[in-house]
Amino acid sequence: MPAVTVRYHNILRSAVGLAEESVPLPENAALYGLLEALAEARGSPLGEMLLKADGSVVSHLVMFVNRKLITGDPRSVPLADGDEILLFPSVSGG
Amino acid sequence: MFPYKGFAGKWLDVDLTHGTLVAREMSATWAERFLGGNGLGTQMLWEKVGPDVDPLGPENLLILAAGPLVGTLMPNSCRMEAVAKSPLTGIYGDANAGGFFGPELKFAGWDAVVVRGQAPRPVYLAIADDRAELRDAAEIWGQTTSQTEASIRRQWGGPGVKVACIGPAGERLVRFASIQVTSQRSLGRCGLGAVMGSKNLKAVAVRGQGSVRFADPARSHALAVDFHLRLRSNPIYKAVSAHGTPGIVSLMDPLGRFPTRNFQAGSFPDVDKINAEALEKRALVRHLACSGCPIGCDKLHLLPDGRFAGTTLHSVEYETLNAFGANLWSGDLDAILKANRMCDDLGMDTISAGRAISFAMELWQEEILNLEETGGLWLEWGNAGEALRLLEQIAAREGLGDLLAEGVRRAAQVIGRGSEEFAMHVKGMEIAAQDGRAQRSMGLAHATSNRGADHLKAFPVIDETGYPDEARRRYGEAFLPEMAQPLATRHKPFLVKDGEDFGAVVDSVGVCKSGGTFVLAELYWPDLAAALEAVTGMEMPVERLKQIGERIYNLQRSYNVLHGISRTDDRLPRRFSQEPSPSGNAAGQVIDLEPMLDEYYALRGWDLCTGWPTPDRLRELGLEETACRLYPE
Repeated sequence: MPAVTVRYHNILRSAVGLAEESVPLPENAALYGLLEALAEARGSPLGEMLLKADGSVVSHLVMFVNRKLITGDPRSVPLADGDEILLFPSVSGG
Repeated sequence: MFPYKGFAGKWLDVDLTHGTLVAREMSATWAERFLGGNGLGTQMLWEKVGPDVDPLGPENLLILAAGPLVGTLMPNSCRMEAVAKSPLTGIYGDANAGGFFGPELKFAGWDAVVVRGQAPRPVYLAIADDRAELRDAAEIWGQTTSQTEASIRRQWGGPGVKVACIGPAGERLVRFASIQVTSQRSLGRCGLGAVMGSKNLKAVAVRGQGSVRFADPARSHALAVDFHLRLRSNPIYKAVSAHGTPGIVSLMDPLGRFPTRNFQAGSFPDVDKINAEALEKRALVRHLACSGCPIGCDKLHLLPDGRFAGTTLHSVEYETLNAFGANLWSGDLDAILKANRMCDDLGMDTISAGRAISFAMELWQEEILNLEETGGLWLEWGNAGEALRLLEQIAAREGLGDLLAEGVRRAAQVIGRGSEEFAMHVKGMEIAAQDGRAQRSMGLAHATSNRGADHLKAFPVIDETGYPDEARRRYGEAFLPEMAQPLATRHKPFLVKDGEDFGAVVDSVGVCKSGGTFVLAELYWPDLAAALEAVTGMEMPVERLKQIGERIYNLQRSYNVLHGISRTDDRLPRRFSQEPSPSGNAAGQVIDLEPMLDEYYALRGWDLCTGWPTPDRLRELGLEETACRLYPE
């Protein structure tokens, strides 16, 4: 079955309790669909760290697909079998 | 009588050559034009330390200052500033540290300590409220910084005393020597520890039992409560609080912004061995915080076993994890922590020290340095053991370390043979752990910073990973989406200029850049203006505060112009414009600095050809005397 690897970082990792997982990928899935699936499967508190109550993506969520930063609408970011998705809170500094 | 609250109202004038200590009243004009901290130090440096002064000579000043918000109820109002001409860069230099020294200085009744001259023998300055004395430091000269602090507490101050001191590296005039402040905080950059060493000043110790007075206590209290609550409800508060700056290690890696092998790449395959989670699992003991900080990014660490068992340290930072980790191609976390502790104890900036070693490793890679020239050190990438040995040599000024102790610019000039290509610096200061190929604003910030390659002057976090909400709130919808995109160049000169001016004010009032003003991006111009009004009683409309920030930044630039700096120095090493990044989100990217520089100078009102502040701009900022000195005709 097609699947993607999701890697959680920082407080997202603490919230979900694991560093990474393999997630089955429906046909024609987009990144937004993956976020919806994760929020539904994992519930609180991860869900609120990914999507707001109105279904929009939390603005302080940083997403990479195959190490490319996603700055546009995740509905238009297609996913494919074997993709690596990195999820971070939008920390900054140095 | 000094009219403003918040300030202590006086500064201590220390002449080490003659052994005199004089209390002087703060100038109300200085406070109105430059606030305190960084701005005060800039003005003093401009007035007293000319282009002919040797940074390591007695005529240089070392200014330790705490701004008007330091020691108040405002969150993170704990920062202290050090200003001097830098022995590393030869131009304006400063460093900033958190912890507890700054508030203690204010509680003792001082806004600043200004040190000039050179003591005939090692001394330390002991301040207990109004009383100050120079004490013999013969017995502690040669001690590490942690030993020095313990000795001074035992000899003079007791357990509550706060100490700013140098280690052996500062005594030996390593050009990137730090001043270490109680609890392993660092006045790290620009080599100000060497300035202290050149003066035979081992330490400044302070104990204060007073308090800071408020012009409007009720308003000050209400603002402080509001700021604390806003920080705690900020969407990334928990992430920053949980992991501190190491929390960004894993995030910078896929961005291609995590310098690896002296900036040859921007991602590190072993990043999971040196990130926040690895650090926490291996060595976290407890969470700590600086004075008045609701975030608490500081942590206490201990290596429980292994070859460095028993090593303890505070404040393991992102920069150090990079400098002694990915930068050296090392995933040896224990060795990184050991190097960090060595730098703290010996008194050296971890950023410059790490870059000096990666510079040597790249010269080894390129066969510019051979085994004879390294004194038998095998400097292949990832050799953490040899890196630690070289670190010791730098502090001791032995062998190759003696050359690297001069900083990479001078070392490359001595070595020659094309080594200049691998000296990663701007204006003589080693570049911190960002990469302009992965974040355009940071490349511009490195190039324009008044103290040489540095991320903390402009500190452009808005586009680091994308803060669209904060970009919208601070700058408006018109600046989106580019303002929040790391690879976009549009609007970035504005972001950098605004950050430099705001940062100058942040460093002058004495609050923390990681505590809400830049990281978290919660507190901004109107908040600091309101806090200044409430605490000091100065009338402070936002536009006036913005002009103060711009005035301070322009005065620093003017100081650098007097020292020969121009547009040709606002440059990045060739690597960033000629070698496409191989890494992550930055793959294939180079940075084209020149168009951004044109726009930046135009925004600043600086001459596009020379990069000098124009006379008109200086006069608009109330810097008439500066204009006359820069343009005597």
